[in-house]
Amino acid sequence: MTAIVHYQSTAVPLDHGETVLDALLRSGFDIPHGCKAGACHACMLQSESELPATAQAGLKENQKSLGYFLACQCKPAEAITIAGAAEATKRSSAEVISIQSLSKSVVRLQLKADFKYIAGQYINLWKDPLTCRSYSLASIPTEDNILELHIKIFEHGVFGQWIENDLRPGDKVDISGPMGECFYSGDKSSPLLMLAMGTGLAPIYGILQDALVKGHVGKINIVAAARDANDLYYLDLLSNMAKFNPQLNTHFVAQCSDGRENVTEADVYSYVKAEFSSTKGYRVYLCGGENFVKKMKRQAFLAGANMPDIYADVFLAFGE
Amino acid sequence: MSVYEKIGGSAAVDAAVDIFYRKVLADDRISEFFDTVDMEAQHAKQKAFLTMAFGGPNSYSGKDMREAHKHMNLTEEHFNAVAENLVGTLTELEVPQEYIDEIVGIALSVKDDVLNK
Ligand SMILES: Cc1cc2nc3c(=O)[nH]c(=O)nc-3n(C[C@H](O)[C@H](O)[C@H](O)COP(=O)(O)OP(=O)(O)OC[C@H]3O[C@@H](n4cnc5c(N)ncnc54)[C@H](O)[C@@H]3O)c2cc1C
Ligand code: HEM
Ligand code: FES
Repeated sequence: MTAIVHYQSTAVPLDHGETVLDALLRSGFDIPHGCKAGACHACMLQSESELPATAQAGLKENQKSLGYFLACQCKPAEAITIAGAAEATKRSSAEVISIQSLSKSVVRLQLKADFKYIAGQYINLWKDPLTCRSYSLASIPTEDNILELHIKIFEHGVFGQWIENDLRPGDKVDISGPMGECFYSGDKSSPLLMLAMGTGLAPIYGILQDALVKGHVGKINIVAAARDANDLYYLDLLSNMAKFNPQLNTHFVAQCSDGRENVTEADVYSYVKAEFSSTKGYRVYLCGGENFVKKMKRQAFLAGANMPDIYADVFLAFGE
Repeated sequence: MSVYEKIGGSAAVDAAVDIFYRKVLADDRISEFFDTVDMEAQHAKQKAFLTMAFGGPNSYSGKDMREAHKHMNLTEEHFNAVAENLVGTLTELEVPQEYIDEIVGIALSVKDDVLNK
């Protein structure tokens, strides 16, 4: 049996295994979207039909009760009628302040916007009214209203190329959010273990600053990892922070250290296992790609950290 | 009073779930069944399991248990491994032996359904 999506008086039959988002895009409707993975919530629509639970996973209770759902996560078994776009999550305008290279493959984008968030959360950055990507905030909220993002540049990546080549200081871009539950909270004396792969360092750096500003006194270990040492950044900055904050320890790990001092050549999983053989009582923060987060989460859990004390952000790539 | 209430209800489940799940993931006999991408979802299912094994409020029937486990082709060894980890967890939490016996009794009562016999 084919499920049918009713939208703006058109009936769109779903191909086998197709999501509501893909079906509507295929039929020429303009639906805002980003990650196609349930993370950015840009594709949120509203319906009064019965919805599969997966289509509402990760939404707030009040959103669920309003019939909001994520079109990219919705594969209905039966016909559904879409009332319209969920009241668009508010977008606000931000001004580009600077675009600066941090390493071979990472740029820092600074935006100015009056925007409320908690350090470690992420925002959606809009390239045009229909297309966004999620980026984590590396800044902490301060009066200068500067937001800092770290963006990995992929050779054929739409956003990376746009940011690196087209955006200029003074340009205006839309942002929305914030989202995410990976941030500093809890007591100030537990040991913290912060693990970042690649630009996973962005939210980790934000959370670290927040922890220090809030007066965290327990030990903090931060591990910044990358495949290639030349992709690592903020080594000096973090090492300096460690000088002024005796509770902070930094570790830089790469599979190929390229002879760089301060960088340990190691497999990050073995390194963390050896250095932190027991994570009992730790709060663990994990940010990076899906594989990294999955493996590290399991490892940290097996080494003793309790599940509710493991905070993670997964940087799903578009369309995966 | 049910054994679930005697050992502290949902707080007992919360205390047990991390210990139990850690044991299961480290047990080569059964870890493959539980080692999925979504650790949070599995964690929640471990809670459902423990709540049921402790005789707490749940809405699963024998038929549900049969359905939930049918496709896994579970054997006696799998069942024993889960039971051992359950007992290990309770021992670690210093639950009195008489309550452990009661909980093992509950697990055994659904054995045939779980193994689809
Ligand atoms: C919650 C969340 C937070 C995020 N935070 C950040 C962040 O702080 N910094 C950051 O850089 N990114 C972050 N991302 C990822 C980001 O949203 C984009 O997916 C990423 O920037 C790629 O976008 P793009 O338009 O440049 O590439 P796309 O146009 O989406 O991809 C085009 C091609 O680029 C290549 N590519 C893209 N991603 C990958 C990958 N992961 N590995 C290998 N090749 C790839 C592939 O060849 C792909 O086909 C986050 C994602 C999520 C969900
Ligand atoms: C003591 C007997 C057992 C009881 C009471 C029990 C109970 C449960 C319950 C309540 C669920 C949740 C169902 C749901 O809501 O989806 C579940 C799921 C599951 N059980 Fe068991 N179980 C038992 C034995 C086992 C054994 C021996 C194994 C394998 C070694 C096993 C593997 C699983 C798996 C993998 C799931 C998850 C299924 C899924 O992801 O959908 N169980 N069990
Ligand atoms: S949540 Fe659907 S496109 Fe990102």
